[in-house]
Amino acid sequence: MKNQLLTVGDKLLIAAILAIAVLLFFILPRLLVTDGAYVEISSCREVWRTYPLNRDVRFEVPGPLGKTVIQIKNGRARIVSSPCRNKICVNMGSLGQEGGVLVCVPNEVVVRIGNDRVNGLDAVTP
Amino acid sequence: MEQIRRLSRLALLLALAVVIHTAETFLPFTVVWFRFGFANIIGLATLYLFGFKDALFITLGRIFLGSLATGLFGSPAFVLSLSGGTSAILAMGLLHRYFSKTFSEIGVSLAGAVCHNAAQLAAAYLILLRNEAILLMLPLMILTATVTGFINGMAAKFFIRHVKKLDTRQPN
Repeated sequence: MKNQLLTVGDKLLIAAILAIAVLLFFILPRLLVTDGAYVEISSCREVWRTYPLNRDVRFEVPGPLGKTVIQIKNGRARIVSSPCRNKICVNMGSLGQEGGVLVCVPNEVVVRIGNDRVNGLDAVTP
Repeated sequence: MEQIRRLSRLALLLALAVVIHTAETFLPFTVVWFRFGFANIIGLATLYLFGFKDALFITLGRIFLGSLATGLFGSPAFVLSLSGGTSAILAMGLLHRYFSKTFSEIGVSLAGAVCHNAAQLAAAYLILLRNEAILLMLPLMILTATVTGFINGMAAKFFIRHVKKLDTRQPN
C-alpha cells in the first residue's frame, strides 16, 4: 500500500484514548461509588455529629450519665461501652449498610445509619 | 453544472446516511447501548469531500430523517442521537480543519466516536437519569468507541478514496 494506514498521530491518539479509558476504569468507581451510608449520632435529642460509614473511627459521645463510646470499623458501627445500667445498647450488636438504629435510652444516645440514596431504585429506564 | 453535481452528491450522501441510520436500528444486539454508528461514515466522508458545513447538514438531516423513519422522533433516543451526532461532527470538523496533517481519516473518526459516546452519556445523565452510576459506563463506552471509530474510519477512508477515484475517471 502506498500510503500507510495509520499516521503517527493516529497511533498516538489510539494510545491516548486507550490509556484514558483504562485510567477512568480504575478511577471512576472510586470517585462515584461511595456507598452513601453515614452514621448519624444524636445525643440529648439533637444530632450531635455524622460520620461516614466507610472510615474506621472511635469516639466518645457525651450524655447525661457520662460518655458512650462508639466505634466504626470495617463498615459497621457499634456501641462499645456505655455508662448506663443495663448495657442494652452495647448488646444490640453492630449496624452496617443494611441500616438500623442503636439506642441507649438512659444516656440519650441514638446511632442511626442514614443513606443518601433517594429511593431504593438503581435506575429507571425511559 | 458544478452546483448541480454538488447538490446531487449531497442528496445521495444524505439518502445513504438516512438508510444506514435506519437500517442500523434493526440490527439485533444483546447490549442495548451498543451501536456501530455506521452512519457516521457518511458524515466523515462528507467532511472530507465537501467540508464542515455540509457534513453538519448531512449529520443533522440524517438524524432528523432517520428518527422520523424509525418513529423515534422526539424520544429520548432521538435526543441522545442528536447530542452525540452533533458533538461528533463538531469534534471531527475541528480535527479535520486544524490537525489534518497529524491525523488521517481513522484518527478523526476515532475522536468523533469517542466524543459521540461521551456527549451521549452526558446527555443521558443530564436529561434521562440523574444518577452518577451511569457515568461508570464511560470507560467501557470509550473502549467500544475506539473499536467502532477505527472500523468506521477505515470504511470512510475507502469510501472517500473510491469517490475521488470516480471523480478523476469521469471527465465532465
